[in-house]
Amino acid sequence: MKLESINVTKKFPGKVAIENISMTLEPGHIYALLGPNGSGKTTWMKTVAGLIKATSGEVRYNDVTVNTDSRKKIAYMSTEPYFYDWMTVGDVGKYYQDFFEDFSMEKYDELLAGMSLDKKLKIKTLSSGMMAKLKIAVTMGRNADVYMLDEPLNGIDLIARDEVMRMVLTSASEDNIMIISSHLVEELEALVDRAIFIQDGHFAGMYDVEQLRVMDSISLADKYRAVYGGVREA
Amino acid sequence: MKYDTNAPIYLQVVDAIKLDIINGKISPGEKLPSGRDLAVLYTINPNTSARVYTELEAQGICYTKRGMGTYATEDLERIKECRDEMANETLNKFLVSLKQLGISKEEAIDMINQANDICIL
Amino acid sequence: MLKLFKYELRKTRDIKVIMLCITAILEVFFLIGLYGENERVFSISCFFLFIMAFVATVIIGVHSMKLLKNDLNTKQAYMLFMTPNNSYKILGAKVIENGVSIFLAGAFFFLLGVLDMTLILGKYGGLSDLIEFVNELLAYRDMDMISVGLMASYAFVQIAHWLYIIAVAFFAIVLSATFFNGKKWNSFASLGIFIAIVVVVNVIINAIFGGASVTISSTQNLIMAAIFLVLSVIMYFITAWIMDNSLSV
Repeated sequence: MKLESINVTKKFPGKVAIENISMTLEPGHIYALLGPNGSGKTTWMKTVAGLIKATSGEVRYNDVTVNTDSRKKIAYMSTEPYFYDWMTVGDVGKYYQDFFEDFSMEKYDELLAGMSLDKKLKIKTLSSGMMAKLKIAVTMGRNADVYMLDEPLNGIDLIARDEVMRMVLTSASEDNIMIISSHLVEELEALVDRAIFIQDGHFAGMYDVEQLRVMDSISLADKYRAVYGGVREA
Repeated sequence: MKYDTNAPIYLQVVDAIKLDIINGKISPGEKLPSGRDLAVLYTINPNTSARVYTELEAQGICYTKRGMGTYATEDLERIKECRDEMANETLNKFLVSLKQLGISKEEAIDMINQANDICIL
Repeated sequence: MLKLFKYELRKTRDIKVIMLCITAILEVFFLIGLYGENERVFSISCFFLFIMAFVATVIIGVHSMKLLKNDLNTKQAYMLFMTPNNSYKILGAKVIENGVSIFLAGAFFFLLGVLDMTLILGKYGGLSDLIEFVNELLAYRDMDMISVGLMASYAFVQIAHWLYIIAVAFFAIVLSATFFNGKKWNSFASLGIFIAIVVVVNVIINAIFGGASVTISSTQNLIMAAIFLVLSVIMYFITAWIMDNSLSV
């Protein structure tokens, strides 16, 4: 299994969102996708998910350009909630079961139970922390090859963050690729083993987190500061 | 667990496990969590947790039974040795810090004798 | 596709239930007016029931346009486009749901109309008068067949035309979501495209047929209906093709 981004460029009217992003991602790793807000992280992820069509270049999954079919094995979780507001937590699971062959209701139930989310809860009534946990639970309920989580730790409390990270870790395996975007570098530092830096829509390097500490005696957060110089995290 | 910013994360977890073995939180011969469980326990990357066990094995602090999992060493001598190593490291750091403050070894011994006992739960 | 269809039905459920409730209330008033011999209640409820039959098909269509707009331009878009379904299926489910709903709504109101007419005849004509009326109907069978056929074919043109209008609206909504996404005038752009296409095609069709009318022959009506249906299908394929190739959500 292999995921390649080859010179991926996406232009929106009047704005270049990402330009010439090339990199290869391998299974068995958890990647942090780092960069300030608006640097193009979401655009790149959505291109991989097939939600956005690249202006030029291509994303190749197992040597085939991503298409409708690759969505069977590439899971994307957006920052914003996207469920229909008439749904309950249980309906969200049924929806995924209806459309994704790799979805396991047992795993979903297990994950929900671990976070004490009731299936009868209405989407409309969920707090932002509960919504963040639901999004993770339903995404991790899939047995995908590639998981892309866009800012999963945004706007949630410490306890919810721990639970989200635990879910990511229980689903990570030798056979899948996890990509987690964030501007909270320190939160991800122990969780990921590789970090991709995106700067103004361009690829700005990929680093092995432990390698940075062993060879350069520098933490990922320090590296981030060095790369983005002067760009302070929120 | 909160990690220092400079030392490799796997070494920090190695130290934490060694400490647990030395102070008896983990008994000699006790089965250690699987690599995946260790990752969840310490919220670290699974590759980092694999590296933790590789390092612990290399140091003779734990061993792997094929297909059974990883166990803490039963070699009490090795555990004692390990304790001395860690004590030495701490002592060295301590002495370096005091030296930077311009405190002599004799003064330091006096200070230790006068200090209140620290209670670690 | 069946699963997509199922969720499209769920999305349009509430509006249909509301319209059904309103119709039921009007029907109750109609019955009260009819059997309570209250002429005012009777005539007002008759009038609104008649209006409702048209309003319902219009609302179902307009609601489906609003739904498509939300499904393309809000975060809800992920619900459809993250699934391994291509745009032909996603749009197809919407078009079929819409077509089925409009035809069923038409059939429902037609049957309700027949039922209410029967009740009116039963009440005011008395049993013997009703039988006489039916006999008369049967006697003039040939004549009536023609006019009923003509009426039906005219209704069919109207429904086909409405489906075609919806297909053009879908096309305009997709076009503006694809090329003017995030722009404030997105809605105006789709409205403009929509009006332009409807007007141009209507001018062409009127030039050829002289417009749909009850007075022209039923064959001509059927041809016209067929043309609208074919145009709808063409619109559907163009729209789905644009979605598949250029739409970013």
